[in-house]
Amino acid sequence: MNDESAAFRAGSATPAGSTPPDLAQLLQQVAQGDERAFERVYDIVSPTVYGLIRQVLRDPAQSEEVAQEVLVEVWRSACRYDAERGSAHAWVTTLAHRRAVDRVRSEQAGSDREARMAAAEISIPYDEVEEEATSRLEHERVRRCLEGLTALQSRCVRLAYYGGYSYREVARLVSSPLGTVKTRMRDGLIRLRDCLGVAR
Amino acid sequence: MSRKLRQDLHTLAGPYALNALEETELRRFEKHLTHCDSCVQEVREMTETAALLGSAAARTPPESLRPGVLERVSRTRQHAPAPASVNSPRRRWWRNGLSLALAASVLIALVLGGTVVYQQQRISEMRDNEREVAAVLSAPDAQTTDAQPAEGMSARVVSSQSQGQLVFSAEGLQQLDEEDYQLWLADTDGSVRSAGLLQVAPDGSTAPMVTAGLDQAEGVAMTVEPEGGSAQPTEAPMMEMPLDT
Repeated sequence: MNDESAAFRAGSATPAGSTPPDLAQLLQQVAQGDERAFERVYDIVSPTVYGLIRQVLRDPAQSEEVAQEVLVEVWRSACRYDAERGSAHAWVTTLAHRRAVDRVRSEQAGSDREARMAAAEISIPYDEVEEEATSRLEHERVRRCLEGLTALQSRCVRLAYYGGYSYREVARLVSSPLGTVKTRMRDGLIRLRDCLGVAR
Repeated sequence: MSRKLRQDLHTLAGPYALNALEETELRRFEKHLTHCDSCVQEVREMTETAALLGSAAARTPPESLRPGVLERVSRTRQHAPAPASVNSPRRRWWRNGLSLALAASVLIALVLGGTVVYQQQRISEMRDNEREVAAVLSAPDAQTTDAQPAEGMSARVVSSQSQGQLVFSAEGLQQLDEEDYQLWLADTDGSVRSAGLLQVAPDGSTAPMVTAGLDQAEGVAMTVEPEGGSAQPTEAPMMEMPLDT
Protein backbone atom coordinates (compact mmCIF):
# COMPACT_ATOMS: atom_id res chain seq x y z
CA MET A 1 0.00 0.00 0.00
CA ASN A 2 2.92 2.27 0.42
CA ASP A 3 4.46 4.41 -2.11
CA GLU A 4 8.10 3.45 -1.86
CA SER A 5 9.28 6.92 -2.63
CA ALA A 6 7.21 8.37 0.19
CA ALA A 7 8.77 5.89 2.56
CA PHE A 8 12.17 6.86 1.30
CA ARG A 9 11.60 10.53 1.57
CA ALA A 10 10.38 10.06 5.05
CA GLY A 11 12.87 7.53 6.24
CA SER A 12 16.06 8.85 4.88
CA ALA A 13 18.42 11.24 6.45
CA THR A 14 21.17 10.42 4.06
CA PRO A 15 23.52 12.90 2.52
CA ALA A 16 22.47 13.70 -0.99
CA GLY A 17 24.33 11.76 -3.62
CA SER A 18 24.61 8.40 -1.91
CA THR A 19 22.02 5.67 -2.29
CA PRO A 20 19.63 5.87 0.63
CA PRO A 21 19.65 2.65 2.60
CA ASP A 22 16.29 0.93 2.70
CA LEU A 23 15.19 1.12 6.27
CA ALA A 24 12.73 -1.72 5.87
CA GLN A 25 15.45 -4.08 4.65
CA LEU A 26 17.76 -3.02 7.42
CA LEU A 27 15.06 -3.79 9.96
CA GLN A 28 14.76 -7.27 8.53
CA GLN A 29 18.47 -7.76 9.11
CA VAL A 30 18.11 -6.36 12.62
CA ALA A 31 15.34 -8.89 13.23
CA GLN A 32 17.95 -11.59 12.55
CA GLY A 33 20.12 -10.17 15.31
CA ASP A 34 22.46 -8.17 13.06
CA GLU A 35 24.00 -5.48 15.26
CA ARG A 36 25.82 -3.84 12.37
CA ALA A 37 22.52 -3.36 10.59
CA PHE A 38 21.15 -1.88 13.79
CA GLU A 39 23.92 0.70 13.82
CA ARG A 40 22.83 1.82 10.39
CA VAL A 41 19.21 1.91 11.51
CA TYR A 42 20.31 4.00 14.46
CA ASP A 43 22.05 6.49 12.19
CA ILE A 44 18.98 6.84 10.00
CA VAL A 45 16.27 7.11 12.63
CA SER A 46 17.90 8.61 15.71
CA PRO A 47 17.53 12.28 14.65
CA THR A 48 13.77 11.82 14.15
CA VAL A 49 13.35 9.71 17.28
CA TYR A 50 15.30 12.07 19.48
CA GLY A 51 13.96 15.25 17.88
CA LEU A 52 10.34 14.21 18.14
CA ILE A 53 10.65 13.04 21.73
CA ARG A 54 12.49 16.22 22.63
CA GLN A 55 9.77 18.26 20.99
CA VAL A 56 7.11 16.59 23.14
CA LEU A 57 9.04 16.25 26.41
CA ARG A 58 11.28 19.28 26.12
CA ASP A 59 13.59 18.23 28.91
CA PRO A 60 16.89 17.15 27.28
CA ALA A 61 17.87 14.54 29.87
CA GLN A 62 14.47 12.92 29.93
CA SER A 63 14.29 13.01 26.15
CA GLU A 64 17.58 11.21 25.88
CA GLU A 65 16.39 8.56 28.30
CA VAL A 66 13.14 7.95 26.43
CA ALA A 67 14.91 8.01 23.06
CA GLN A 68 17.25 5.34 24.37
CA GLU A 69 14.29 3.19 25.42
CA VAL A 70 12.64 3.59 22.05
CA LEU A 71 15.76 2.76 20.08
CA VAL A 72 16.40 -0.33 22.17
CA GLU A 73 12.76 -1.25 21.56
CA VAL A 74 13.38 -0.97 17.81
CA TRP A 75 16.13 -3.55 18.26
CA ARG A 76 13.95 -5.86 20.34
CA SER A 77 10.84 -5.64 18.20
CA ALA A 78 12.33 -5.39 14.72
CA CYS A 79 10.76 -8.75 13.88
CA ARG A 80 7.32 -7.25 14.39
CA TYR A 81 7.74 -4.71 11.66
CA ASP A 82 5.91 -5.77 8.54
CA ALA A 83 6.45 -3.79 5.36
CA GLU A 84 2.95 -4.66 4.17
CA ARG A 85 1.47 -2.54 6.89
CA GLY A 86 3.19 0.74 6.47
CA SER A 87 6.57 2.34 6.05
CA ALA A 88 9.42 1.48 8.37
CA HIS A 89 9.78 5.14 9.10
CA ALA A 90 6.18 5.40 10.30
CA TRP A 91 6.63 2.30 12.44
CA VAL A 92 9.63 3.76 14.27
CA THR A 93 8.18 7.24 14.52
CA THR A 94 4.88 5.97 15.93
CA LEU A 95 6.79 4.00 18.53
CA ALA A 96 8.72 7.12 19.54
CA HIS A 97 5.65 9.32 19.63
CA ARG A 98 3.66 6.91 21.78
CA ARG A 99 6.43 6.60 24.31
CA ALA A 100 6.85 10.35 24.48
CA VAL A 101 3.13 10.89 24.91
CA ASP A 102 2.83 8.15 27.52
CA ARG A 103 5.62 9.81 29.46
CA VAL A 104 4.27 13.33 29.24
CA ARG A 105 0.75 12.24 30.23
CA SER A 106 1.97 10.20 33.15
CA GLU A 107 3.74 13.21 34.55
CA GLN A 108 0.66 15.32 34.45
CA ALA A 109 2.45 18.29 35.92
CA GLY A 110 0.29 21.36 35.79
CA SER A 111 3.26 23.63 35.94
CA ASP A 112 4.83 22.59 32.71
CA ARG A 113 1.48 22.56 30.97
CA GLU A 114 1.85 26.12 29.82
CA ALA A 115 5.37 25.53 28.72
CA ARG A 116 4.23 22.56 26.67
CA MET A 117 1.54 24.63 25.12
CA ALA A 118 4.02 27.29 24.19
CA ALA A 119 6.27 24.65 22.68
CA ALA A 120 3.53 23.36 20.45
CA GLU A 121 2.49 26.81 19.42
CA ILE A 122 5.81 27.98 18.19
CA SER A 123 6.82 26.97 14.74
CA ILE A 124 8.40 23.58 14.62
CA PRO A 125 12.03 23.86 15.43
CA TYR A 126 14.66 23.71 12.92
CA ASP A 127 17.83 23.30 14.74
CA GLU A 128 21.23 22.45 13.59
CA VAL A 129 20.18 19.27 11.74
CA GLU A 130 23.51 19.62 10.09
CA GLU A 131 24.56 18.46 6.72
CA GLU A 132 21.45 16.48 5.88
CA ALA A 133 19.94 18.04 2.84
CA THR A 134 17.09 15.56 2.59
CA SER A 135 16.02 16.21 6.12
CA ARG A 136 16.04 19.95 5.57
CA LEU A 137 13.86 19.61 2.50
CA GLU A 138 11.52 17.38 4.43
CA HIS A 139 11.23 19.95 7.15
CA GLU A 140 10.56 22.68 4.66
CA ARG A 141 7.86 20.63 2.96
CA VAL A 142 6.04 19.85 6.20
CA ARG A 143 6.22 23.46 7.28
CA ARG A 144 4.71 24.59 4.00
CA CYS A 145 1.92 22.05 4.25
CA LEU A 146 1.15 23.02 7.83
CA GLU A 147 0.81 26.59 6.63
CA GLY A 148 -1.84 25.40 4.20
CA LEU A 149 -4.12 24.39 7.07
CA THR A 150 -6.70 26.65 8.64
CA ALA A 151 -5.54 28.25 11.87
CA LEU A 152 -7.70 25.94 13.98
CA GLN A 153 -6.69 22.78 12.09
CA SER A 154 -3.08 23.69 12.52
CA ARG A 155 -3.36 24.42 16.23
CA CYS A 156 -5.27 21.21 16.87
CA VAL A 157 -2.79 19.06 14.99
CA ARG A 158 0.26 20.71 16.54
CA LEU A 159 -1.01 20.70 20.09
CA ALA A 160 -1.84 17.02 19.84
CA TYR A 161 1.22 15.86 17.97
CA TYR A 162 3.98 18.15 19.14
CA GLY A 163 2.46 19.05 22.48
CA GLY A 164 1.34 15.53 23.39
CA TYR A 165 -2.11 16.72 24.48
CA SER A 166 -5.16 14.51 24.28
CA TYR A 167 -7.90 15.91 22.11
CA ARG A 168 -9.95 16.70 25.21
CA GLU A 169 -7.12 18.83 26.51
CA VAL A 170 -6.76 20.42 23.10
CA ALA A 171 -10.45 21.33 23.13
CA ARG A 172 -9.97 23.16 26.43
CA LEU A 173 -6.84 24.89 25.21
CA VAL A 174 -8.41 26.21 22.04
CA SER A 175 -11.83 26.75 23.68
CA SER A 176 -13.69 24.75 21.07
CA PRO A 177 -16.23 21.95 21.40
CA LEU A 178 -14.89 18.39 21.41
CA GLY A 179 -16.68 17.53 18.19
CA THR A 180 -15.07 20.43 16.38
CA VAL A 181 -11.61 19.52 17.59
CA LYS A 182 -11.97 15.88 16.54
CA THR A 183 -13.11 16.92 13.12
CA ARG A 184 -10.40 19.54 12.70
CA MET A 185 -7.76 16.95 13.58
CA ARG A 186 -9.16 14.59 11.01
CA ASP A 187 -9.64 17.04 8.18
CA GLY A 188 -6.34 18.72 9.03
CA LEU A 189 -4.56 15.38 8.65
CA ILE A 190 -6.40 14.68 5.42
CA ARG A 191 -5.26 17.97 4.01
CA LEU A 192 -1.70 17.32 5.17
CA ARG A 193 -1.83 13.85 3.69
CA ASP A 194 -2.78 15.25 0.30
CA CYS A 195 -0.26 18.05 0.50
CA LEU A 196 2.57 15.72 1.51
CA GLY A 197 1.60 13.17 -1.12
CA VAL A 198 1.19 10.23 1.24
CA ALA A 199 0.23 7.19 -0.84
CA ARG A 200 -3.42 6.25 -0.68
CA MET B 1 -25.09 0.92 17.28
CA SER B 2 -26.88 4.00 16.06
CA ARG B 3 -25.79 5.70 12.91
CA LYS B 4 -24.92 8.84 14.79
CA LEU B 5 -22.69 7.04 17.24
CA ARG B 6 -20.91 5.26 14.43
CA GLN B 7 -20.25 8.51 12.62
CA ASP B 8 -18.96 9.91 15.82
CA LEU B 9 -16.51 7.03 16.13
CA HIS B 10 -15.43 7.53 12.56
CA THR B 11 -14.09 10.98 13.26
CA LEU B 12 -11.80 9.61 15.96
CA ALA B 13 -9.39 8.47 13.25
CA GLY B 14 -7.67 11.86 13.40
CA PRO B 15 -7.10 11.97 17.15
CA TYR B 16 -6.16 8.29 17.03
CA ALA B 17 -3.39 8.82 14.50
CA LEU B 18 -2.12 11.76 16.54
CA ASN B 19 -2.12 9.61 19.67
CA ALA B 20 -4.61 12.00 21.21
CA LEU B 21 -7.21 9.56 22.50
CA GLU B 22 -7.58 8.81 26.16
CA GLU B 23 -7.81 5.24 27.36
CA THR B 24 -11.58 4.63 27.16
CA GLU B 25 -11.98 6.11 23.74
CA LEU B 26 -8.90 4.35 22.52
CA ARG B 27 -10.55 1.02 23.40
CA ARG B 28 -13.83 2.04 21.81
CA PHE B 29 -12.16 3.13 18.63
CA GLU B 30 -10.06 -0.01 18.41
CA LYS B 31 -13.17 -2.05 18.73
CA HIS B 32 -14.76 -0.02 15.99
CA LEU B 33 -11.72 -0.69 13.81
CA THR B 34 -12.49 -4.40 13.94
CA HIS B 35 -15.52 -3.83 11.74
CA CYS B 36 -14.68 -0.71 9.79
CA ASP B 37 -12.40 -1.40 6.86
CA SER B 38 -12.46 2.13 5.58
CA CYS B 39 -11.34 3.38 9.01
CA VAL B 40 -8.38 1.02 8.94
CA GLN B 41 -7.23 2.43 5.64
CA GLU B 42 -7.76 5.97 6.83
CA VAL B 43 -5.85 5.32 10.02
CA ARG B 44 -2.92 3.95 8.03
CA GLU B 45 -2.70 6.99 5.82
CA MET B 46 -3.00 9.33 8.76
CA THR B 47 -0.34 7.46 10.68
CA GLU B 48 2.03 7.87 7.74
CA THR B 49 1.15 11.55 7.62
CA ALA B 50 1.72 12.04 11.33
CA ALA B 51 5.09 10.31 10.99
CA LEU B 52 6.13 12.99 8.51
CA LEU B 53 5.32 15.59 11.13
CA GLY B 54 7.69 13.60 13.30
CA SER B 55 10.54 13.77 10.83
CA ALA B 56 10.13 17.51 10.61
CA ALA B 57 11.15 17.68 14.26
CA ALA B 58 14.42 15.80 13.60
CA ARG B 59 17.31 17.05 15.60
CA THR B 60 20.85 15.90 16.22
CA PRO B 61 20.87 13.66 19.29
CA PRO B 62 23.43 14.16 22.03
CA GLU B 63 26.66 12.27 21.47
CA SER B 64 26.10 10.08 24.49
CA LEU B 65 22.95 8.54 22.98
CA ARG B 66 24.65 6.30 20.43
CA PRO B 67 27.07 4.49 22.75
CA GLY B 68 24.31 4.21 25.36
CA VAL B 69 21.90 2.57 22.94
CA LEU B 70 24.50 0.28 21.38
CA GLU B 71 25.70 -0.85 24.78
CA ARG B 72 22.17 -1.78 25.83
CA VAL B 73 21.47 -3.44 22.51
CA SER B 74 24.50 -5.67 22.93
CA ARG B 75 22.97 -7.15 26.08
CA THR B 76 19.28 -7.06 25.15
CA ARG B 77 17.53 -10.13 23.84
CA GLN B 78 15.20 -9.67 20.91
CA HIS B 79 11.59 -10.71 20.81
CA ALA B 80 10.88 -13.98 19.10
CA PRO B 81 8.89 -13.42 15.91
CA ALA B 82 6.05 -15.79 16.78
CA PRO B 83 5.37 -18.41 19.41
CA ALA B 84 7.28 -21.50 18.37
CA SER B 85 5.35 -24.56 17.44
CA VAL B 86 5.21 -27.29 20.02
CA ASN B 87 5.45 -30.59 18.28
CA SER B 88 3.85 -33.40 20.11
CA PRO B 89 1.75 -35.99 18.40
CA ARG B 90 -1.77 -35.27 19.51
CA ARG B 91 -4.84 -35.97 17.55
CA ARG B 92 -7.36 -33.26 16.98
CA TRP B 93 -7.69 -32.41 20.61
CA TRP B 94 -9.65 -29.31 19.88
CA ARG B 95 -12.21 -31.07 17.79
CA ASN B 96 -12.67 -34.34 19.57
CA GLY B 97 -11.84 -33.32 23.08
CA LEU B 98 -9.45 -36.21 23.43
CA SER B 99 -7.68 -36.67 26.70
CA LEU B 100 -4.53 -34.72 27.06
CA ALA B 101 -1.09 -35.91 27.78
CA LEU B 102 0.13 -34.53 31.08
CA ALA B 103 3.81 -34.65 30.43
CA ALA B 104 5.15 -31.35 29.32
CA SER B 105 8.68 -31.37 28.08
CA VAL B 106 11.22 -28.83 29.20
CA LEU B 107 10.96 -27.40 25.73
CA ILE B 108 7.27 -26.76 26.13
CA ALA B 109 7.82 -25.09 29.45
CA LEU B 110 10.47 -22.85 27.96
CA VAL B 111 8.33 -21.86 25.03
CA LEU B 112 5.35 -21.13 27.18
CA GLY B 113 7.45 -19.32 29.74
CA GLY B 114 8.45 -16.97 26.96
CA THR B 115 4.86 -16.50 25.92
CA VAL B 116 3.69 -15.61 29.38
CA VAL B 117 6.46 -13.11 29.89
CA TYR B 118 5.57 -11.67 26.54
CA GLN B 119 1.96 -11.29 27.67
CA GLN B 120 2.96 -9.27 30.65
CA GLN B 121 5.03 -6.73 28.89
CA ARG B 122 4.48 -3.09 29.29
CA ILE B 123 1.26 -1.40 28.46
CA SER B 124 2.79 0.86 25.89
CA GLU B 125 3.81 -2.21 23.99
CA MET B 126 0.24 -3.41 24.04
CA ARG B 127 -0.63 -0.34 22.10
CA ASP B 128 1.68 -1.47 19.32
CA ASN B 129 -0.81 -4.29 19.00
CA GLU B 130 -3.23 -1.91 17.34
CA ARG B 131 -1.26 -1.66 14.16
CA GLU B 132 -1.01 -5.42 13.91
CA VAL B 133 -4.74 -5.78 14.41
CA ALA B 134 -5.45 -3.20 11.74
CA ALA B 135 -3.15 -4.97 9.29
CA VAL B 136 -4.96 -8.29 9.59
CA LEU B 137 -8.40 -6.73 9.41
CA SER B 138 -7.56 -4.74 6.34
CA ALA B 139 -5.86 -7.57 4.45
CA PRO B 140 -7.60 -8.27 1.13
CA ASP B 141 -8.02 -11.95 2.00
CA ALA B 142 -9.33 -11.41 5.54
CA GLN B 143 -11.97 -13.99 6.48
CA THR B 144 -14.35 -13.70 9.37
CA THR B 145 -15.69 -16.59 11.42
CA ASP B 146 -18.18 -16.04 14.23
CA ALA B 147 -19.26 -18.37 16.99
CA GLN B 148 -21.69 -18.30 19.89
CA PRO B 149 -20.09 -20.82 22.20
CA ALA B 150 -22.60 -20.15 24.97
CA GLU B 151 -25.67 -18.08 25.75
CA GLY B 152 -24.72 -14.40 25.75
CA MET B 153 -21.21 -15.06 24.55
CA SER B 154 -19.81 -14.38 21.12
CA ALA B 155 -16.42 -14.82 19.56
CA ARG B 156 -14.99 -13.66 16.28
CA VAL B 157 -11.91 -14.72 14.40
CA VAL B 158 -10.62 -12.71 11.47
CA SER B 159 -7.83 -14.51 9.68
CA SER B 160 -5.59 -13.56 6.81
CA GLN B 161 -3.41 -16.16 5.13
CA SER B 162 -1.40 -13.46 3.42
CA GLN B 163 -0.57 -11.92 6.79
CA GLY B 164 -0.18 -15.35 8.37
CA GLN B 165 -2.06 -14.03 11.36
CA LEU B 166 -5.47 -14.01 12.94
CA VAL B 167 -7.24 -11.63 15.26
CA PHE B 168 -9.40 -13.05 18.01
CA SER B 169 -11.95 -11.08 20.00
CA ALA B 170 -14.85 -12.12 22.22
CA GLU B 171 -17.65 -10.61 24.24
CA GLY B 172 -19.75 -11.82 27.12
CA LEU B 173 -16.96 -13.55 29.03
CA GLN B 174 -17.21 -13.81 32.78
CA GLN B 175 -14.26 -12.41 34.65
CA LEU B 176 -12.38 -15.19 36.40
CA ASP B 177 -10.65 -15.36 39.76
CA GLU B 178 -7.38 -17.23 39.82
CA GLU B 179 -8.03 -18.59 36.36
CA ASP B 180 -7.41 -17.32 32.87
CA TYR B 181 -8.96 -17.81 29.47
CA GLN B 182 -6.33 -19.21 27.18
CA LEU B 183 -6.44 -19.29 23.43
CA TRP B 184 -4.97 -22.19 21.44
CA LEU B 185 -4.13 -22.91 17.85
CA ALA B 186 -4.72 -26.46 16.69
CA ASP B 187 -2.31 -27.39 13.93
CA THR B 188 -2.91 -29.68 11.01
CA ASP B 189 -0.33 -32.11 12.40
CA GLY B 190 -2.46 -32.56 15.50
CA SER B 191 -0.34 -30.48 17.84
CA VAL B 192 -1.69 -27.61 19.91
CA ARG B 193 0.02 -24.29 20.50
CA SER B 194 -0.79 -21.62 23.01
CA ALA B 195 -1.85 -18.37 21.42
CA GLY B 196 -1.76 -16.52 24.70
CA LEU B 197 -4.03 -15.46 27.53
CA LEU B 198 -7.07 -13.29 26.98
CA GLN B 199 -7.40 -10.09 28.96
CA VAL B 200 -11.04 -9.66 29.90
CA ALA B 201 -12.34 -6.15 30.55
CA PRO B 202 -14.98 -5.55 33.27
CA ASP B 203 -17.66 -5.47 30.55
CA GLY B 204 -16.75 -9.04 29.54
CA SER B 205 -15.08 -8.13 26.27
CA THR B 206 -11.52 -8.85 25.24
CA ALA B 207 -9.15 -6.55 23.43
CA PRO B 208 -8.49 -7.87 19.91
CA MET B 209 -5.58 -10.29 20.11
CA VAL B 210 -3.22 -11.02 17.24
CA THR B 211 -1.76 -14.47 16.81
CA ALA B 212 0.87 -15.43 14.29
CA GLY B 213 1.67 -18.76 12.68
CA LEU B 214 -1.71 -19.12 11.03
CA ASP B 215 -0.37 -21.15 8.12
CA GLN B 216 -0.25 -24.42 10.05
CA ALA B 217 -3.45 -23.92 12.00
CA GLU B 218 -6.76 -25.58 11.27
CA GLY B 219 -8.68 -24.37 14.29
CA VAL B 220 -8.84 -22.03 17.24
CA ALA B 221 -9.96 -23.10 20.69
CA MET B 222 -10.36 -21.54 24.11
CA THR B 223 -10.07 -23.14 27.53
CA VAL B 224 -10.11 -22.01 31.14
CA GLU B 225 -6.70 -22.62 32.68
CA PRO B 226 -5.12 -21.97 36.05
CA GLU B 227 -3.95 -18.39 36.44
CA GLY B 228 -0.99 -17.66 34.19
CA GLY B 229 -1.97 -20.31 31.67
CA SER B 230 -0.82 -23.83 30.92
CA ALA B 231 1.75 -25.30 28.55
CA GLN B 232 -0.89 -27.48 26.98
CA PRO B 233 -4.64 -27.43 27.51
CA THR B 234 -5.74 -29.14 30.72
CA GLU B 235 -9.42 -29.44 29.87
CA ALA B 236 -11.78 -29.75 26.95
CA PRO B 237 -12.30 -26.47 25.13
CA MET B 238 -15.27 -24.28 25.98
CA MET B 239 -15.12 -22.95 22.46
CA GLU B 240 -13.73 -24.27 19.22
CA MET B 241 -13.77 -22.76 15.79
CA PRO B 242 -12.51 -24.44 12.65
CA LEU B 243 -10.57 -22.21 10.27
CA ASP B 244 -11.10 -22.28 6.56
CA THR B 245 -7.74 -23.10 5.14
